[in-house]
Amino acid sequence: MIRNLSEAEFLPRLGLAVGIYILWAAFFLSLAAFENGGVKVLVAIPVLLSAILFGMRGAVLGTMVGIVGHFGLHAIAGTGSFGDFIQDGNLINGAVLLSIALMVGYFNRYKSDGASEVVQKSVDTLRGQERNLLREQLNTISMEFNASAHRKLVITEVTRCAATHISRALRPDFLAIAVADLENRKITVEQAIGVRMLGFTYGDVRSVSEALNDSLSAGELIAVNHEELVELTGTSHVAAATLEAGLRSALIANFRKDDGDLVAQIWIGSAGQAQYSDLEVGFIAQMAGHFKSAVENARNSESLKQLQRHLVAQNELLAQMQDGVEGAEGELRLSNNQLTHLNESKTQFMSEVAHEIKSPLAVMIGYADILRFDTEHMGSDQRKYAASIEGSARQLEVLIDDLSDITNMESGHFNTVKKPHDVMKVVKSVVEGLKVSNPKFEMRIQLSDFITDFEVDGDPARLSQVFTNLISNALKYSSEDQFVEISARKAAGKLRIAIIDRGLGISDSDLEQLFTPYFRSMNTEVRHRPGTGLGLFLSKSLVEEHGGSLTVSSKVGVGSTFTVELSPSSNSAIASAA
Amino acid sequence: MRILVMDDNSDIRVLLVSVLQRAEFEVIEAADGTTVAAWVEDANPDVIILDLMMPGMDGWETLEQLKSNTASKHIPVIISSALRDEEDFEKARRMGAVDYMPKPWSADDLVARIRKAVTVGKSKREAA
Repeated sequence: MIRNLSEAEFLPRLGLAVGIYILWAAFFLSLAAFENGGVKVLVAIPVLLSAILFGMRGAVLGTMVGIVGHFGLHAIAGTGSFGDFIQDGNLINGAVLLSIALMVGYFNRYKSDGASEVVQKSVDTLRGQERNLLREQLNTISMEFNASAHRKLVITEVTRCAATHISRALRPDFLAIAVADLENRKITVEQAIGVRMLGFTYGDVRSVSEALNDSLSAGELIAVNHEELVELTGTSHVAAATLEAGLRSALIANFRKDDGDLVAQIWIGSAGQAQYSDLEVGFIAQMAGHFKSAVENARNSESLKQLQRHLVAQNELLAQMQDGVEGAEGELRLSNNQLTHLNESKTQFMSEVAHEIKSPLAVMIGYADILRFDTEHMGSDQRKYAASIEGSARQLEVLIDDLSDITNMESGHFNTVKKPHDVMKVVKSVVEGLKVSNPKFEMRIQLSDFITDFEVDGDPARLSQVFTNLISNALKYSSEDQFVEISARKAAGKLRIAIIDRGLGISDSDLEQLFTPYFRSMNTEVRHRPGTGLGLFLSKSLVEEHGGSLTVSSKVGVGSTFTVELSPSSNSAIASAA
Repeated sequence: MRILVMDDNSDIRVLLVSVLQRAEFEVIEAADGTTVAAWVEDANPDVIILDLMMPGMDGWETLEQLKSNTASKHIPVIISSALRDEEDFEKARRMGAVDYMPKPWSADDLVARIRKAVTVGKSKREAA
C-alpha cells in the first residue's frame, strides 16, 4: 500500500530539499561559469535528489523547480529570452530530466513503501508482544489475586498486588488505589505511588463519581484531561493533589457493586497529556474486573473472619457460662440431695420426737384430768391448777401436732385419706368437743343459718383439725363475753362455712402475712395469747388440699371472718344429678 | 369388768391403772404383745387397750394375732396411740379394732369409750 507522508513528515523534508537547492545555486553563482552541459547536469542533481528523498511528488516538484530555476539563472545571467531558452533544447532536457526523475521517484516510491511496511510489521510485532505481555500480566494478576485470596485474603494485599502490576505495565507518574469501607461510609487510600496523598474521603470520591457521572455510566473507566482535572479540584482532594504534583491528566477507574455502591477507585496520573492506547485501557479495564472481584472476596472474607472471631468469642463465652451452669448445677444437685436428706432426717426426727413427747403428755393430761374431777380429795383451787396443767399440756399437744404436720408437708410425707362423708357432722363434733373442753364456750358459740348435712370428699380428721383451729382462734382472739358465730350455707352448689368473731381484728399488714408459717403478729394483745403461728398456714394448706379455699376478711377492733368453701362430694353430685 | 392394758410405757400403764380403777374396772397390764396369744384366753379381758408402737411385737402384729385367734377375736380392742393419721385409723378399723384413741386422751373420754365398746361387743356377741 502506498503510504503518503503526513504533513509533519513532509514539511521538514521539503525544507531540507529547498536548503540543498539554495546551497547548490549559490555555489554555481560564485563559480560564474555557465557551460550549458554542466548546468544541465547540475540542475539534474537536486531534481534527482528530491525524487530520491520525496518519491513521485518530489520528482515532479524537483523537476519543476529545476526548470524554473534554470530559466531563472538564464534570466539573471541575461543569456537569452524565454524563446532562446526553449530553443536551446532546455524543454527537452527538462522533459528528459522529468522522466528520469519520475523513474527515480517511482523506484523510490517502492523503496519507501517497502520500508514503511517493514516498520509497520515491526510495530505490529511489538504490539502483539505488548498484548501478549499484558495478557500474561493479566493472567499473573488473576492468579495472584486468587493466590492472595487463599494465602492472605485481605484488602491491603489485593491492592498491593494491583498497584505492583499497574505500575509495571503502564509506568504511570502517579497511582492511587482507594478502597471503600461501605460500613463506615469512607474510602481509604491503600496504595499510592508518586504523590503524597492528602487522603481520600468517601464523600470526596463520591463527588468525583457524581461529577463524572455521565461518562461513568458508559463504563467504569474514564480518562480525565487537564481541564477536567482542574474542574474537579473544587470537589476532589485527589484531583487537587494530582494537579499539585504537576500531573496533567488521569485515568480513573471506578469499581461498583451490582447495586451501584462504590467498592474501589484507581487513579492513574500522568505528567503529560496522557495518551493511552486501546490496549492499555483494555488492560486496565480487565484488571479492574479481577480487582473488583478480589476486593469483594477480600471484604467477604474479612467480614467472615470477623464473624468467625465473633463466633469463637461467643462460643468461649458460652462454654464458660456452660461450665458455670454445670458447676452451679452440680452444687445445686449436691445441696438438693443434702437438703432432701436433711428433710428426711428432720421428718424422721419430728415423728420420733412427737411420739416421745406425746406419751408423757398423755400421762400429764391423764392425771390432771383425774385431779380436775376429784371433788372428794381436791379443793376448788387445786382443781383449777389441775385444769391449768391440762390446758397447757393440750397446747403442747397442738404444737407438737402442728410441727409434725408441717415437717411432713415440707418433706412430702403429708397424706390425707379422702372419703365421702358429711362434713357438717365434723363441724358439729368440733363444736361439741370445744364446749366439753371449756364450759364457758357453751354460751359463746352460736350456730346460725346452719344447714344440716353436706357430703364432701375429704379426710374427716384433717377437716376436724381445720375447724378446731379456726373456731378456737375465734374464741381465743375475742373476749370472754363475745360471741363466735358459725354459719353454714350453700352457695352456688358449694358449702360455705363462716366463722365470725367480734374480737381484736387483724391489721392490713398482718393480713398480708397471716397464712405464712410461723407468722405471729407483733400486736401485744395477740402476743398475750398462746399460739405457734402454724395453725392458719396448716388450715389453709389442708383446705386447699381438699380443693377448697380459706379466705379472711377483718377489721381491727371490729372482728374477723374466716370463710371455708368446700365442693360437694363427686358421689353426691352424681346422686343428686340422677 | 376386766380391762387388759398393753403399753410399753410404764407411766401410761400406771395412769391407765389409776384411771380405770377409779372407774371401778379390774386392770391387767402387759408391756408388749409377744406372748399374749398364750395367756389371753386365761386372762379373759372384756376390753383390750392396745398401744401401737411397742418394742418386740408391735401393736399391729398383736392386733392381728388377737383377731386371728378364735379364743380372743371377740374381745373388743381399743387402740391407744400417738399415731393420729387417718391411714392408721382406717388400718386399725380394717384389722378389727372397735375404737381408736389418739394420745393424749382425756380420762373421762377413755372411760366412756370403754363402756361403749363393751356394750357394742356384748350386743354383737349376743347377735352372733
